[in-house]
Amino acid sequence: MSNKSEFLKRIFSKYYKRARIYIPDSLPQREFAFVYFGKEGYMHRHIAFNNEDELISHFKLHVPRHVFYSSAYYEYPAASNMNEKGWLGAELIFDIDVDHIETPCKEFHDKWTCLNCGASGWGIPPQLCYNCGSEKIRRETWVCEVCLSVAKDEALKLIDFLINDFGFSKNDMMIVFSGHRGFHVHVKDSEILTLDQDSRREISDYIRGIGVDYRFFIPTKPALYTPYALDFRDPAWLGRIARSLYSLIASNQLEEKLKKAGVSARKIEKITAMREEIIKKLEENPPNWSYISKLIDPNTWERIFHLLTEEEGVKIDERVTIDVKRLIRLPETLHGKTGMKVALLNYHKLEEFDIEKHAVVFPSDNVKITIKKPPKKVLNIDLSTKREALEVPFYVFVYFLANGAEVKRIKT
Amino acid sequence: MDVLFTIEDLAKYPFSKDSREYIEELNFDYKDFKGPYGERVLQRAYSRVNEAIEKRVISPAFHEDLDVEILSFPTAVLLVGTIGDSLLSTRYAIAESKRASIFLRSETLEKIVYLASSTFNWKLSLNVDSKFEGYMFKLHFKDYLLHVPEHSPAWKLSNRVLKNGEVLLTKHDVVRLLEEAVKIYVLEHLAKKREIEDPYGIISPWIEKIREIWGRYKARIESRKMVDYGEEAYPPCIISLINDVKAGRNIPHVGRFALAAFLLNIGKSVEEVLEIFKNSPDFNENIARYQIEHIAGLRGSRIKYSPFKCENMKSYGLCRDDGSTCRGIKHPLQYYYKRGMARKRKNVKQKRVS
Repeated sequence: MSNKSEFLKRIFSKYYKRARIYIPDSLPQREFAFVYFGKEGYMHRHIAFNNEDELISHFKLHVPRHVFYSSAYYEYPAASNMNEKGWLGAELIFDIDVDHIETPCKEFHDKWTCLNCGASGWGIPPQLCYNCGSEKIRRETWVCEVCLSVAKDEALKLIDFLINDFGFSKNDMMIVFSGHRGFHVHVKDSEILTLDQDSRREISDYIRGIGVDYRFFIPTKPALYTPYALDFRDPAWLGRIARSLYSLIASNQLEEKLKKAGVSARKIEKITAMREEIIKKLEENPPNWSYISKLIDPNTWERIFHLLTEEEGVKIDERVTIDVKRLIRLPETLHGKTGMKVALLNYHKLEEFDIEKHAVVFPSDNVKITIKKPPKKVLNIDLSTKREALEVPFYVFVYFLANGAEVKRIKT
Repeated sequence: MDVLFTIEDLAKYPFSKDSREYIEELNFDYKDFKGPYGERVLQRAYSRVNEAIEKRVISPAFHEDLDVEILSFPTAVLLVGTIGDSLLSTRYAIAESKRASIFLRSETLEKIVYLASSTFNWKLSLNVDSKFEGYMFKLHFKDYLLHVPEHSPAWKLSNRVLKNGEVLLTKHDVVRLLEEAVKIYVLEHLAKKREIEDPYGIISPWIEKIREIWGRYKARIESRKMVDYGEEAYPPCIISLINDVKAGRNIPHVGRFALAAFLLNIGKSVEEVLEIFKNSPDFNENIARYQIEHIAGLRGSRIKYSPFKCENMKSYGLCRDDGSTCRGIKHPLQYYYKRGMARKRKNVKQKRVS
């Protein structure tokens, strides 16, 4: 084991000595998976525990680097063949991860390197290397306050869907900081535990705004369906579309947004010319849809709807939600790439999320370090002005170390 | 809610909880099939199945003796279930669900709510929000999702009013969803393992009779189905999807579903379909196999899926009709069989000429 790994294991071990890790309900029916220090390339799966004591002593004995558990309940969680596990049901889970969301800050802290030719760059990694076309791309990602604020807004949007549309209660929801660049939301309402993949896909599509069809919302010709008469206070996608359309039309970025949505210059001109009129008709009580709908052609409506659903929908990773046998990080354990806690939150804590307050477990006393090729921004620390040595809180040093930066601590 | 379930209602909805209780009270046993009364029950059960095979729907007319009418339903389930042919089971289940649907259409809202909640444990209630006129019902989204009859924009949850976990629905919607519930209910009962007690040899002849008419019908269908008309008979939408897959282009989930369902329905095996999808850029054999087997009805709900009808292919932007190729066609499979048989006739003619 490298010195770095040994050091990390030592401080993780300290944490697990006093930590109160989260114990899932129906513990004996859950599968656990671990990645250990020194064996980072392998995930030890199909592990089960009969009781809390067994689980806790496993932590004390092995000090894992990453810890996952199944959102599913199984009759035989330790069976190594998925078909023999005897699936009994699964929580409905949602993953919001900045990896899947465009943010302006990635230019400052996400780096990719082509393992084939050595080319590298900042920002979202390309599918194929620009230089040689290789698929072998290594990514280095960091989290900053901008990422977290974007992820938090998405998580709050998600919870709005879960409460107001799906009728779940806050008590049935578990909100968790992922320990890196996002949030997890688990729903444990007894009604949904046995939902199949198809139903989960429908829920995921609904929350992402997939399949929202303008023909149900706007009267068009030829009418295929009887459209809803939208109002701003309406529930479901009806209200979201009405409100979002209003802010789009009133927005000072209207032209820019329409252009991005692929609306032609001629049509953008037409819409901006009618802007005041559209706003007036939208403000009528109820909005005058039969009038508004005629001002814009069907093709443009479709593009506008794409824009609206993109903005109102939540950027969840749909694979996580659809998968009924997913492994997900265990709350109150440490994330092995950041040294931060996979922190159990609640709605209030999410609203006020503060990584230092909620997820940092190691001391914030400053230490002196040297770091080679650092990202330009990490957490709330600006590293763009390069310095040989700098002072950072101890937990940031741990983060650098865990995430593979070339960092050294200078003993004073 | 106080709802009076009359004996006619029991006959209309013989799968309902009230009917099941009534049948239990009648205390009708295997030995009761002996004699003229039992004969009438078997005769009516047979006619239910016969209608399902020949007409795809069981007519709403009752047997003059309502007890016979009610008893004929579990008896028909017994006969069809014993045969254990999944195609026959599906056909019978659909025919029963359509029969129920005919009655439900003219049923009172209260009785619909009562039936759905007592028989299927649905969380269904009446909607009193005057803003959404015409949407008389609200249903828990779980019951909705599990009974959506088809993948189409109209049934997409995203296009529905979902509030506090409940989907607003019209009467037409609820009847369609209940039709699906009846189908699933009948299918589940048909799949139950059973051992018939037939000491007097009264039931077996009826089973044989059904086997016979079903065998004749099946031979007719299979002769048409098992002929591989080749890719020349594929509709343009399917050809376009195949070309996309072959070229390694990513096609949307609905496109994959449509393609897989089409190929499985014209008699391709799971392996053959899998082979076609191997070119997909994100191909994962395990996932693909699981999904194809699901569509083939080998997994999950055990229902073999049909590809989308043309109307829905259009909604998904998958239709490639140029305005003339598919005239009069409502379903991609219809195109295939029509084209295929026309080609066959043409070939026969040409052979005769030469």
